[in-house]
Amino acid sequence: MLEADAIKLFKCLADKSRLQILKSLVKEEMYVERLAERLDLTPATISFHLKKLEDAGAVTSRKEQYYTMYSIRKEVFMTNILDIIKEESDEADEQKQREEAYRKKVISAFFEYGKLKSIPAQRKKERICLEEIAKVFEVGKTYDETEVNEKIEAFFEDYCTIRRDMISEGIMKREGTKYTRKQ
Amino acid sequence: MNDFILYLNKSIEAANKKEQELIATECKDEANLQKIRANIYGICLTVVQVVAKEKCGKELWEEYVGRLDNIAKNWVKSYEKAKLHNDVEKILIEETKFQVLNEVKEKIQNL
Repeated sequence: MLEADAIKLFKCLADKSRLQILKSLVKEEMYVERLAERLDLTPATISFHLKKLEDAGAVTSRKEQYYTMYSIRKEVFMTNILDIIKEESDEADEQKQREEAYRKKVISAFFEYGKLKSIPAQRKKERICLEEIAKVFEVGKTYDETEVNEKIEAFFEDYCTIRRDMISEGIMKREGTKYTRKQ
Repeated sequence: MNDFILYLNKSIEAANKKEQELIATECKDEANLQKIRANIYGICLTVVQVVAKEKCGKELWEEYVGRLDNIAKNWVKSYEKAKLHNDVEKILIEETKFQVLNEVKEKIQNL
């Protein structure tokens, strides 16, 4: 288990309600309403905790007719804590993880449900947002300006600024009216 | 009016107390929901104090409920957006806010 995953899991487990949920799920798989009844919490609260547990890899879900059944991922809890502690990570890996965590933080701060809320004032943060938007463009494929505008507009209404900034940041290349995404 | 303000103050106090209890029992996320509840009661208190300076009697309560509903308009938008994207955290937060608001409106009807 990666250090970042272990931290996420331990943080998630440090909550009484989530531990109670896991205690129920270790016995049998359950759906939200049943857990809510059993733990005397609202279904919305249970869903919230289950989402956190699922994101941390502690539980998994599957659809069954009208319900979503949740079950514990036993293999995660079989991991020896000493093995996690002993696991060595080199400086390059740690740096990469830190950068990835920073990227995620910026993206979650500036994007809401896949839309850019505002253009970050800091250049480093703006670049991260531009790179995120640029993922809609295939590397090497040529797009005309209308296509580029339409694709960017799905993220942010001021597509002109975004398009120009992508060029100045070297994320996209323009030749006449044709655009390509750089590697 | 005094009874209503007393009710809001007591509700803020109760939510703050519950928040501390939940923190002490390692239920941090549920404690945050109590903090949200206390904030909403706080908003209701501020609004009623402002409206009371401008109106009185039946007009006061009509204006007050109107202003609360106006505040909640943005919550409705946010709630609908969260539901559309299955954002369970946001859904829970918005539902908590509506719960408090409905509670306060019910209290007004029973005054």
